[in-house]
Amino acid sequence: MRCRAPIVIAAAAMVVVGCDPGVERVSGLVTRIDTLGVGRVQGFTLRTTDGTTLDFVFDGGTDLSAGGWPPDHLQEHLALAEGVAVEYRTDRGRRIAIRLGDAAWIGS
Amino acid sequence: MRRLMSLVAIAAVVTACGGGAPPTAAPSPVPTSTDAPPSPEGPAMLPILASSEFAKGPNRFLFSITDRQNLLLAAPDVSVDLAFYDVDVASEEIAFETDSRFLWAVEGVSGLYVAKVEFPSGGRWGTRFTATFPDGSIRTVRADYDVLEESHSPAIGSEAPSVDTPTVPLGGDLAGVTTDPDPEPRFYTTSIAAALEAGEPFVAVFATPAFCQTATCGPTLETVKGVAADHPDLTFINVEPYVMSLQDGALRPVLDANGRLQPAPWTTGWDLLTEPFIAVVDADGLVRAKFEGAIAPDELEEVIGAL
Repeated sequence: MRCRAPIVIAAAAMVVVGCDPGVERVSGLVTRIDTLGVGRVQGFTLRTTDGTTLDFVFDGGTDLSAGGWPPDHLQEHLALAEGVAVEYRTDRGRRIAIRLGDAAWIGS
Repeated sequence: MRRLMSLVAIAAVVTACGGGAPPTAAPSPVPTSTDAPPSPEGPAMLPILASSEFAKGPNRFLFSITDRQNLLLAAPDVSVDLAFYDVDVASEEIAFETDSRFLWAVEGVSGLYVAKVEFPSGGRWGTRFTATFPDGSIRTVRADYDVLEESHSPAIGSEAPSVDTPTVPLGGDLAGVTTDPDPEPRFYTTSIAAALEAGEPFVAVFATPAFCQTATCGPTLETVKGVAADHPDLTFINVEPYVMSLQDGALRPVLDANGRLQPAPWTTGWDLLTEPFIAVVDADGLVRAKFEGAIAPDELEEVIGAL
């Protein structure tokens, strides 16, 4: 089945339903990271351009292919207020991040 | 007991106001969830606490500010003054005040603020950020957060953990010890354990450029390399924070059974919460300063100059 790319409205929360069923995408700034230590990031909070805050958890690693990066790299994006793109699935009300990547600056 | 640390926003409760509006309490522990409305004169201001932890004693208080649309407000011409509140004692009474300075993480591209702060006690603390903009307007926002009795990473003044770290003699192949595409060979000639044993001061840099995709990321190691060039006789040590293996001529992360990165033994030995992390250790083996997230060259120069 051919997959149609959705139109993203920049000022909105930028939640995008991707081609992979059940996978959604959102961009924003990381405002909080929950961690037990290096290599043991448990989750994080993202603030979207409309002010919505979304909590994410990790269930294993993230997709490191094609520019994807690991949860620990979130700290650098937080420190520099660099945008983050998140692909995630929702399971029993939890948003499970499966891929993290650079996002174009949100709001500028 | 599992110690789940909330970096940053550090379970912060935020109240904000602009243009003279009174502060409004927000029920959410996340600073971005403030219920304060945007100021009529412009967007409200929100803090991002970039330090991974705060602990009793001296701290490097790292933060940024944005508006509610995530637009970065931090800039060299925006000054930010800080007022601190010991919430457990008197939540609305200023315990101490300090100013902050803007530092470029990547010169001319992105930066944030840093302040030297000494918390006299652990517990619940709050900070009111008051920003003055070039047009003279002032915005203010408060965030509350927890301060630990002891930090996870080695405290300033404590003994640096002695850990064996990978080394390569000058002239050797560095591909097996670093993901830096332009490595500085002298950063890999001495291990942390050897430097401590020799009683020589050193700068340890736990950082990997492996996951950086843009020019605005991963500046820490480059900053340290720039400072090191002016101190040819001082020992600098860079270590990859994660377990890596040499594959096809380059270091690749070794993931665990769940597909996650694994901290290297030396990272675990230092009990680091995040990377990049820089420590300056004196000839007595004591941690004189530590930095995380981003660093300005003169911050490092100041500490090195005092060794």
